[in-house]
Amino acid sequence: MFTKTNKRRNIRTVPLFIFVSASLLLASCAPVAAPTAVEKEVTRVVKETQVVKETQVVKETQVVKETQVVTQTQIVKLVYGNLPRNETLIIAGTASNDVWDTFSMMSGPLTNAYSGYQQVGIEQAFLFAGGKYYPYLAQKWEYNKDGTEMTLYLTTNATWNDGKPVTIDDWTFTLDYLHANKDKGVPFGTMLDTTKYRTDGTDKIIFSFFDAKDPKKAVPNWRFHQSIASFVPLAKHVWEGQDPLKFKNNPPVEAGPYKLVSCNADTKTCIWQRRDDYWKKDEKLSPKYIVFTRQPEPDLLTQDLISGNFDLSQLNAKLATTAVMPKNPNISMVEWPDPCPRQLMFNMEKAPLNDPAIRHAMSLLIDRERAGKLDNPAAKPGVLPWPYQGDPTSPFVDPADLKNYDVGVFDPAKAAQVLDDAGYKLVDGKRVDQNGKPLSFSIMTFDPSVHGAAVNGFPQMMAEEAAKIGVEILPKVVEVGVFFDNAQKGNFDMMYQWVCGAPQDPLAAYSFLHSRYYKPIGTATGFGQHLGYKDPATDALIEKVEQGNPADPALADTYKQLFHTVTSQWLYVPLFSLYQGFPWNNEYFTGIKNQVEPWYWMYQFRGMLMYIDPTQK
Amino acid sequence: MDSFPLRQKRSSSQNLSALQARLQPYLPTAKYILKRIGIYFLTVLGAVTLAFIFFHLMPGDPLSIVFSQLEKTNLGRVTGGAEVAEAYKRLLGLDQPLPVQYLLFLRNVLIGGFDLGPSFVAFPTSTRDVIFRQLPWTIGYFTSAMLIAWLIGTTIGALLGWLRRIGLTSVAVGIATLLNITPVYIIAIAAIIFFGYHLHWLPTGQPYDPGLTPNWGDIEFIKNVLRHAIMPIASVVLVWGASFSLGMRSLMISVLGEDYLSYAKAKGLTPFMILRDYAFRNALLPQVTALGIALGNTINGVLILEAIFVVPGVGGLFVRAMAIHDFNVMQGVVLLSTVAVLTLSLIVDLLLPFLDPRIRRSND
Repeated sequence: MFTKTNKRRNIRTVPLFIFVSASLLLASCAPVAAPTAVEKEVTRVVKETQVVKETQVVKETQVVKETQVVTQTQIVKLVYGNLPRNETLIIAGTASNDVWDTFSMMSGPLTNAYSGYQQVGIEQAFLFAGGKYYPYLAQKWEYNKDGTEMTLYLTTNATWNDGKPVTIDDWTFTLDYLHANKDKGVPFGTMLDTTKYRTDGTDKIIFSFFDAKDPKKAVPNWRFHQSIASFVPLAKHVWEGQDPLKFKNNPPVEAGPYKLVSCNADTKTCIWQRRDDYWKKDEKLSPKYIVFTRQPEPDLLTQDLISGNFDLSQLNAKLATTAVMPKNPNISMVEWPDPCPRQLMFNMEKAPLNDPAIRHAMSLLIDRERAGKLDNPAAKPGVLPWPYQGDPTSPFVDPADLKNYDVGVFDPAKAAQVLDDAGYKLVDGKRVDQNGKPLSFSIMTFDPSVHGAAVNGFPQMMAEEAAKIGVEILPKVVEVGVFFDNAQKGNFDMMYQWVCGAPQDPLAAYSFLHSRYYKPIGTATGFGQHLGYKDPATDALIEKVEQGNPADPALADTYKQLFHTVTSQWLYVPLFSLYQGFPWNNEYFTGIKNQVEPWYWMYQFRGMLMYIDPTQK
Repeated sequence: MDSFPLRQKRSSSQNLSALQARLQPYLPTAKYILKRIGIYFLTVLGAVTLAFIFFHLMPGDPLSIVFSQLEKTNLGRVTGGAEVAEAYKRLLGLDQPLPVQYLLFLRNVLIGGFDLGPSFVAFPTSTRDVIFRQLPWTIGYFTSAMLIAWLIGTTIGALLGWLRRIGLTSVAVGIATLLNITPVYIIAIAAIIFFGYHLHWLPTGQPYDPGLTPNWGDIEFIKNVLRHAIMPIASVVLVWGASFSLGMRSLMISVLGEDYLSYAKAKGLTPFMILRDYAFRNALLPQVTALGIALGNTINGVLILEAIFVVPGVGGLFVRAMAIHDFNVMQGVVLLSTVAVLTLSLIVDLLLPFLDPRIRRSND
């Protein structure tokens, strides 16, 4: 039972609590020492001039002229504790995976791609940037005459960031370690299923390739350098005996140019410092510190960029150009071609989409220029399934195919004509097939916030054009997970997709058409998409390209045949290239070039570091 | 000697009766408590089971998707996407039939110390660790904000109700109504732009300055954390405080019409005593219930505020887990959230008999 005194005492605790809470909040608010939380502006001695002391001695009168010691001071902002802003490159991104205490490539895509570990912590065999391979932990490669062996020449002066040398033992340990753990899904785990290796001295590894079904049968693999380029050897003295999926490698022992200072899960911020003992002495590494941090929501990121708080971020081009650049003249846009031009895919197992005429008509209904402009005012209609700069001329394309098969052409009248010619007649305003069934198709896309407005804009535009010629098109926007699930199982009519062919070797633009990936509708393909396409002739072309040497000019003809197959049957048709560009702050670091791909979520980031210089000398 | 057992028997019988008589007043309360606890456990089990089923009914197999897409684009150095996805399914326990997964889930939660296996979103950190890493921030920011909002809102609401005939209160009610209908993110963004970017008075986000090393024994670090917490907490306090004050004002106005207040006035009690002991106490009960529910919901985090202020809370974790169908984390957060809401409701239910004698005396 409560007594009256107790009641009073209980009730008095309420104002007391309010008073204490308010006092705490006010107390915490009181000492505001810095203009912002992130950037503290303090005076810091950066450079001192030499002491100049001049003395003139004159007899008798003894006049002494003395120049005072002069110390030049420069105001430098300190950020993230005590890092000088003019030596710190700040990258703001959106961390996909919430991993801040593990620095390992073993879990592949589950690694946090925004911590800086992949960008500046690790070292690969080669860096592939701008169509060129740059040597890092390996110097060069050589194939034998028939492409069944490749010799990799290792770099011999590389060191781990704990001071120990990177040796051929580290390489061979890594190859065996990854293969021994292939069941755990580690990268390169299955490589030794079709590849053997042997060493030659301390700087050469010879890889030989064989048929998985018949290990005695040698097979060519002219693209082995493409995959081994991204190989990251592990430090044997660190990884030996460790479980690849549990070992945190913290602090990371790697051969890359920057060493981890701190990584914080609360603030989602990792700070890296340039190694004084970095082994590649000719490497340009302007920033002493690189900070990878989580970017705020777009409205607030805009304010951060206006204030120059970040050097590179993921703000979309429209906000950057309209809201940031007018207010901060130091900001410029870094642009590069879409590495994976967007395509419209057909489920060719579903009638009447198995008819090339239907697919041709669908292609003619796409107003690519208008749709692309929803995302990028400078967008051009897509033509090739690999990145290119406006001119679609390529050794892998016959220009006649572009013209003959209306690649990238918008012509609704011709679409109607194509349907008429193929027997899809207009009955009571509706276009019907030979059985009298109206033509009706859905186009599956996903949340526009993921890939931009054009992704959901083009189906709507197609629907409007299709309605004019009696065809029903239903735009179908689904959740991303549902999109991929439907894509894999063939639960769609048409869908938005992207194809990432390489301009020098566009195999990836065709390999998914091979019938080895074919599965009946309802069964997951395990390869991202289900096109319901099977053709032995196409398989043969793909296999020829797979086994051929991409450096061999003769392979261009096979590639041309593949392009012809795709365009003449409209196996998939181009849409547009998405805008690729991010705002760059030139206030502290400049020299960034367009077309450089500052992909700060992957190793390509290193390609960008090659160009930038400090603005404030 | 013979009479002793008789005396003892009589004595135990008397003791039992005496004990029963002594316990009699507490029996309704005990029945009430047991019933509430029983309902609590059943509800937890039901909610967790439903969540498990619904999550696993979600279409899509993102594990396969993540790996196969990366294989396709040659990113992430993945080869054999389908095989890798299968390996991770085994690791995450997703290769078992659904009923087995459910039983394993219950076993791991109940006798495995909340062991929900590895997370996918923060691999290889365990689900338990990743949730408990984020939880203190959510509680520290939003649960404390809700408590402050309730205390301030309830006090102001009681005064607004009590002083309802004074013209100035209508201004306060207008302001409270405006705050109540304003989305909290608008207030948050406006506060950040004004106090953070323009005036530079307060930090614009993050739980503390990114350059700091967490040290809860360091007063400077704690002050830094508190400075970062001011705007998120103030945003919640403004909006929810307004909501609580309007609710309390209505409750007060309804109570002020009761006869017992006229009786108290007739007895000659001072207005302050009538406010404190009669009106406020009676109006408080529904507010306490509302607080219990609101507090439980803060475990989910105020998602939008977590995103705006870059707070590493449970809400943001749940959203990321949803995006890649990280069942372990999703189930963990839902379990925690359900238990929090239900536990706080239970606590409120158990407190009610002590706050309201009518419940204490009731058989139901």
